[in-house]
Amino acid sequence: MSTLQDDRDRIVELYADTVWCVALSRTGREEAAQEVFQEVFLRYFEKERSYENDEHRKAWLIRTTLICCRRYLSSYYRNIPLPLEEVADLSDEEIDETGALYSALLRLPAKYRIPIVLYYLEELPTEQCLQVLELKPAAFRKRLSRGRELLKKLLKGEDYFV
Amino acid sequence: MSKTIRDLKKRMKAPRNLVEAVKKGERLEPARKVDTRIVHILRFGKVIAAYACVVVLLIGAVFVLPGLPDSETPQSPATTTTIVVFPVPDVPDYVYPPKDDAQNYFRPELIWVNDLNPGLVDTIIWAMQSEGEGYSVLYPYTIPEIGGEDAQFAIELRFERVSGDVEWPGYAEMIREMQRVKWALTDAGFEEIDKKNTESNDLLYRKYYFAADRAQMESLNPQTLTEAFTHTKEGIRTVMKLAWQGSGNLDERLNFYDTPLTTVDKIVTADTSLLPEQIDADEFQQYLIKPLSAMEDEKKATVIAKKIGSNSCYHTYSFGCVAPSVYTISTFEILSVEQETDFYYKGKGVQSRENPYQVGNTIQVIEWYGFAPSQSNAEKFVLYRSYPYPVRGIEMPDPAELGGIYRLSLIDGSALAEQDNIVAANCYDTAGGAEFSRSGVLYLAGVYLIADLEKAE
Repeated sequence: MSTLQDDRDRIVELYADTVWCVALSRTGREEAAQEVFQEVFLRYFEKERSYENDEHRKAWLIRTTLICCRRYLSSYYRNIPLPLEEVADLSDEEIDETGALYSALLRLPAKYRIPIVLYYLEELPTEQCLQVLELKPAAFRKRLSRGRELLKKLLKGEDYFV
Repeated sequence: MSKTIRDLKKRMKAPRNLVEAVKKGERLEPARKVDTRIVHILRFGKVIAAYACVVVLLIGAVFVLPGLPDSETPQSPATTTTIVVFPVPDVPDYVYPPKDDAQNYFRPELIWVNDLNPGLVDTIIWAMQSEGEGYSVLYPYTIPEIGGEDAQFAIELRFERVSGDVEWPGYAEMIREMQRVKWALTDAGFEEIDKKNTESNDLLYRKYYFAADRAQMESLNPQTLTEAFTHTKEGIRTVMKLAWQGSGNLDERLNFYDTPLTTVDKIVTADTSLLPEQIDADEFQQYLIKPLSAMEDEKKATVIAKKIGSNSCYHTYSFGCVAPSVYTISTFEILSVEQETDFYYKGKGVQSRENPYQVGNTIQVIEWYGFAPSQSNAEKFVLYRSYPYPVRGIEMPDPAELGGIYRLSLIDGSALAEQDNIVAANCYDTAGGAEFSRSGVLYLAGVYLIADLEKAE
């Protein structure tokens, strides 16, 4: 028989990576992502909500993560930009293909980074991406394509003109 | 899923300790090593700054203040500003010039309306263009071809130098200014949809296109938008200064960019039903292409009116040369009607409206001070004052004096002015002197306005 704690564990296990990934992508810092992560699940468990299905639940969690990130980043002293090397804090041996992509991803402007994370990493269907990002299809496609373009440039070691 | 993506996902997995803590409903201590450092810096910074302030104040109180003359603190004017966004009207073909002339698009523009006083309208069009010598900076307009079908509003931000030395000294700074403006627009919520950069020996331009649909536009934060436009304006000024410096042509023209900045309090969209979708082509040709003096008297209204308000705006339009113009939108209250007319705009949505030229009504008139390449055509045509630009050696006349009584001859209906004083100005121009008589048609919120003005006894 499923208990409340079991449900909680299941939800956390199921969506932890998604929430973490979005929070880390949006804030670019682990300590920030850590706070947002906890805040999101705290909110989730705080109040009973009815979800149509798991997709709906996931969309809610992502949307809430983005909102929490925005709130976190809007705080003055937290918003001071860090040097890039701190944003993508990678050791030399980690600069392999994945490491480079990870680093490049975190260097993307947030407006391009989040669509890419949701669409390619989280494999969220376009409809849901549009819903959580509150974007129009054309704008979403544009951000994806622009994000990919910038990623390519970053991976080639080029700077880009935003 | 590609291996790289899989690896990346692994790398971005949530830390186990965090997951376990959340499951237990615990909260980990925030690991804010960076934040703490910043907080410390801020804390110490604040203490030092506080001491510095005290010292500065003391010095000021002892040495500086006694020497200052008495003066009243200037108060910034309280303004209420509305941004009015006009979607692209279905303008008849004849309004569009030939397609092969890129200059000749009909361009509904960003409108900046100040309804500080009833009837007082301040319109600032953020448009800068000067094709001949090649400095174009910011051009906001609405063109579906740029913004896509959904776009109701688009901004083209562009810098262009089509002649002269591309590598002039202000170039790098100018590009930086553009960046700044660009960021301001993005921060305000505009979506960057495209860009074009071209650089060669005799041509250089960078263009960025931003778009917003009606819902986006209405959802923009007015304060953010104000900030964006402040940046934009400052950016424009700097860029123009640089451009003129670069061309060795810097002069007092810059003063025209010192118009006061108002704030945006609300954003509304105009009622599309009032846009002139069904302008009669013959009427357009007959009454808007001819100079006022050539029009039959029965088509003109002549009223005696008192000027009750005005605001100056600037609008740099090319007309084939670097020639920023300043115009004033003035509000007149009709005191008496000398000659009546039944001709006024009767476009779609306003067929049944009343004659605007009645005692007690207010009307808006544009006073234009700017370079017009073809004076003989331009003067007393659409824009009732059109003078050579001051830098060309002729002083700019004073605008109609506030409170003054004037005789106005006009063909106009301030259709939207009747609705909360919303006025939009669009300019349909063709670059080139001979075309000015056509190009000078100012289109006011669905109403074409032609006015002549003289001081009444």
